[in-house]
Amino acid sequence: MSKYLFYPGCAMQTSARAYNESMQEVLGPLGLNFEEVRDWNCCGATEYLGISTVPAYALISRNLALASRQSNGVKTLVASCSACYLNLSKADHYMAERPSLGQMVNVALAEGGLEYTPGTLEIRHLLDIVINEVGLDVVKERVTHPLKGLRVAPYLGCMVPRPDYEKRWSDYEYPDELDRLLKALGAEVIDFPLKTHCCGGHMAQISPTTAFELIRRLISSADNYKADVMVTVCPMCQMNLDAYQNETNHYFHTNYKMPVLFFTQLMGLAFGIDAKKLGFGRELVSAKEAMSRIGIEVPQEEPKTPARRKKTTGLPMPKMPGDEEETQ
Amino acid sequence: MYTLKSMAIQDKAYKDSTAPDFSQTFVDMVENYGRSYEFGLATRHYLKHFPLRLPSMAPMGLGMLSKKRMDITPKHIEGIDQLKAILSRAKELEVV
Repeated sequence: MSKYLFYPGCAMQTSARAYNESMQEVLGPLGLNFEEVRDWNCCGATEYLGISTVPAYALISRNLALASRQSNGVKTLVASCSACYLNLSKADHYMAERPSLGQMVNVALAEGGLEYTPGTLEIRHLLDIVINEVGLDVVKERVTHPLKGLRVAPYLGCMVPRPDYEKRWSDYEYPDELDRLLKALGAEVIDFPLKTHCCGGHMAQISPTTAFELIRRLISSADNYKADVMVTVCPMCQMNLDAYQNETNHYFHTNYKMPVLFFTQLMGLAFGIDAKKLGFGRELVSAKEAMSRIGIEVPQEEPKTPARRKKTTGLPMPKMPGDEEETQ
Repeated sequence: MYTLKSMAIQDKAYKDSTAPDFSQTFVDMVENYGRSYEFGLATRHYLKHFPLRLPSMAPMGLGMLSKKRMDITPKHIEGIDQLKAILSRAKELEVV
């Protein structure tokens, strides 16, 4: 088992829970051992660096310092979230490139009894580890249930391949790593032209109509290519395309029902792991129908409406037969 | 790009944009808890800037809650005092 330090980031425990669940399931078959950085904090997402510089890098670097202290000889820090990967990479890169920034960040870290020397850790994305450390030959060996007949749109988003400080990706505008991985799983991969276009990030909250247009373009393109599902490596992309798809439909009077899944979920299915363990059913646009087309049953959890609180006092209401046993 | 954004926010060289307020709310929550708090962030932002959008957001919000993709309460890191001390010193060092 190859050991790595792992920085999950906030989304893996909340909005991207399916990503975390499916990743944990495929680590063993891939021979990966991830040790979580203890007491990590938020990386600041796409917001903190727009407000400040030194505090933003200090926030990120606390994680690098904690990981470095915990490393015990392990050099690689893996992030599964694209924004986290980019922020950790940025801090490591710019602390080295701008020594004055690195010095100020370390002065701040010293207030918490921490320090970080840029270059100590190697920051890598989970997809990069699967492709370049595990390798597609091993992935193919683990496939017991090829995803034959499933048309997938590989969607990376903009934060993984750019700016690519360490030249890890095949192309920063049109990388093919995710395509090759999904092909290794037996899926039919479309040549998705918008694979590194932006999903809107937090625009869904800041300027909804801008976000809706970005989301519509992506889903419409995947739909035009007759993709059954879109597959992503990024929690924010998944959240925007999945959770805001309904509002986008409403805004444009469209009726897209494009499931948006994490690549680790499809890996798990191809490895023969039970769909329930892979976070299926957590998506708001159900993948049930798309997956049933290739003979895979996945759960579909419908959002449950919370039960109404019963009032013990209030205006008398008309009663229907059968209401008696419910009255308190 | 972030430098320009930061300068624009400091000079208030923007109008009709909720982005600076959103960023500041996000940052405030991270500084208080050490983790992002999507439910609090979204609720506060929509109530302040897009209250009429809330009814159309309800199905999505309920879906996220029922599928355990959003926590109602924030998560705290253990070393929040350490983080606050680091950020406090970093703010003193900040030069634009």
